[in-house]
Amino acid sequence: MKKKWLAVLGIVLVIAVAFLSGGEEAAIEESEEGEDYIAYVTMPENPVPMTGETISVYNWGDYIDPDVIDVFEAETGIKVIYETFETNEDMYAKIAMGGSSYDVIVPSEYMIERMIREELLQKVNWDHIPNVKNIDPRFMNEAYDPEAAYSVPYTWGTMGILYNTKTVLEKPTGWNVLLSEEYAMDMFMLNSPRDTLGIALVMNGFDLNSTNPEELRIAQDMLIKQKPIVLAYVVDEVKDKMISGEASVAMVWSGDATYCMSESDELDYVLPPEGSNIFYDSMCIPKNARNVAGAEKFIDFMCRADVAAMNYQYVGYAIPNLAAIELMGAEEYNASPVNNPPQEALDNCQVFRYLGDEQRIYDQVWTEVISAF
Amino acid sequence: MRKNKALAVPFILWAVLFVVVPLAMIVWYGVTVDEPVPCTEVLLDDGTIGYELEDGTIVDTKPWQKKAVISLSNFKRMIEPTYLRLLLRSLKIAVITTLICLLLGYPVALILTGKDFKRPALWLMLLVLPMWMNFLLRTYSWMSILENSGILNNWIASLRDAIPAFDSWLTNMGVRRKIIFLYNENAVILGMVYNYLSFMIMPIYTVIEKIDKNLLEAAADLGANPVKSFLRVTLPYSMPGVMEGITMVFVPAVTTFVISQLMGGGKVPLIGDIIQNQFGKSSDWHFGSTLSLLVMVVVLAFMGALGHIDKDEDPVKEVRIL
Repeated sequence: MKKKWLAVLGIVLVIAVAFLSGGEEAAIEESEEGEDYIAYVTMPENPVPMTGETISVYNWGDYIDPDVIDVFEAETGIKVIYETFETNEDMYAKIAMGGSSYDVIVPSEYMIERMIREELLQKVNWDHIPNVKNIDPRFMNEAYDPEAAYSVPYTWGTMGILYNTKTVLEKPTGWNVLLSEEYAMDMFMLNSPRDTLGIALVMNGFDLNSTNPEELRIAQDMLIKQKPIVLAYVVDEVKDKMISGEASVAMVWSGDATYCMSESDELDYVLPPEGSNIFYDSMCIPKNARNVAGAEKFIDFMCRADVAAMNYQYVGYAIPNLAAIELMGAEEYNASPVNNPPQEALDNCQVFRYLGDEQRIYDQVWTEVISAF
Repeated sequence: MRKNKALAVPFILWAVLFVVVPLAMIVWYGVTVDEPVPCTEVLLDDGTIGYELEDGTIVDTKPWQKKAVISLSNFKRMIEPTYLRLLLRSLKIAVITTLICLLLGYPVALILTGKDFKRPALWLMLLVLPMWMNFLLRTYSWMSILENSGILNNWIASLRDAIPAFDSWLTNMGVRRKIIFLYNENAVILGMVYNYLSFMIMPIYTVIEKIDKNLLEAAADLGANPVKSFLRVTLPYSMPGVMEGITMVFVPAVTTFVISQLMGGGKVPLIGDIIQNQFGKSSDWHFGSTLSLLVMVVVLAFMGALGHIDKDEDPVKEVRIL
């Protein structure tokens, strides 16, 4: 009997300790966030009562400041049903199958191109979104939505090199650092066919979206030759690993770089001048949206300078909203190499195009690379 | 009799909904590919080019729609050397994992059931306890132990700093300051053994525990030494548990994917990783399903072979000889 009690006590203790330590961590995180957080938007004193109107928003995980949603609801009385996805493909499958209806979705550029082609999106009525004037025109009319008819840019970013300033003494001047024996078994590549092969294509002077088998074979050979000096092909783990100093060099998306640099002073980001990938996540309205008027209100709200500024503080990805950048102080915002890469490098950046069936070549070539011995 | 049949309805519904239907879908996806809907180019009245669909309608832009068409082209792709090599590597790693689990797990199960062993239930619980955690968490823990900047390397580094002789000895041996434990095949095997070991111990333990102790006493009374009574009584009687353990380790080991990505750093992809890619980044559900079918056939063949061995063993006959 006594033994049983001891066992129960032990289990309770373990659970209690688990809960306590969990709580402690959460508290630390909160205070960290509060450090230089500026409340650009405050809750209205007399919130509009809920009208019973709803909109459903489908966005990437951890890609919006939850307070922003609360403010929207209080200002408009529209309830937001918020759901998240992990990959563009997950989101696409859900929309294309037609089983569920969303009013606002936030796909990336190549997926927008595909969804426009497959008639899954509806044109945006710009008359209902006056705040689009805040968006930098440089980020509209890109190849994926050439007439800027379907999408409202939400965030943008680049693919670049994150490096540890303690071990990499000279700032990398280009992608060639990924072939340098100096960082043998000291670099991370991304385990992602389009991203990694795209960069390998650029390094050989080819188009980022090339589907030419000969060009892809050259990229493949280069990556297989590089494999012995690669420490690992990583996915999301790259963030934690670079923060803990596991390797000196890594190819990362700029949004992840922002996060890593906020966690470690030793890390810096560079966008190589010879070209890279620039990506956009943009707000769109699916064709089968139920509440288009509500969706337009939400998109317009997200384009408001104060809202975009508040959201930027939480999400950390570079924003296309000029008015918000001005509100936050352009100098501070542009001090980040992630937000403000050299114009020359930016000019050489390209978006990913939707490749349709040609995508298959990438999968085949990439499988050859990672399965090579 | 009729009553019994009615009771089976929920089970049959369950099985159809969650076993038969998904399986049929995988087979369907596996034997089909997406082809563009057939259309012919036509010159329209206004001089532009249009596309005529099969049903006679004419559209301005080339139709994007796809149609699933039965085709064996994915099977042809499947037997390319790249994919067969991946399958072979998966099989090799799964066999090694299963063998290590068996070599570690059987003695543990034996010790736990020993008559001198105190409180086996508690030890068994301690063994199973980590399994209450998600396997991703457990794998991440191994990563933080084995990383270049991980716990183990930090310990070795502080040992080297504390004991100069140890440091110079390691330096002479050519050991790097940071030893790379992760990102190779051995790390993948370690991660898999750790994750699957209890699946080997549990069934063996359960079977050995149920062996009639009188048999062992009888063996001793008839002059068998402990080794002999183990070989003639415990081992044959525990074979069903061993077989079950092997199945429970081998099958998930062949199809595993996340462990190889995390522990192997993407450098040791297994067939499961490639299948996952098809349903994710590459979004080629058809080829993913074809590869899944291949793995299913391999597993099925393995189970068939194992079931055959199982039937051949007749522990009772063995005991009679004794």
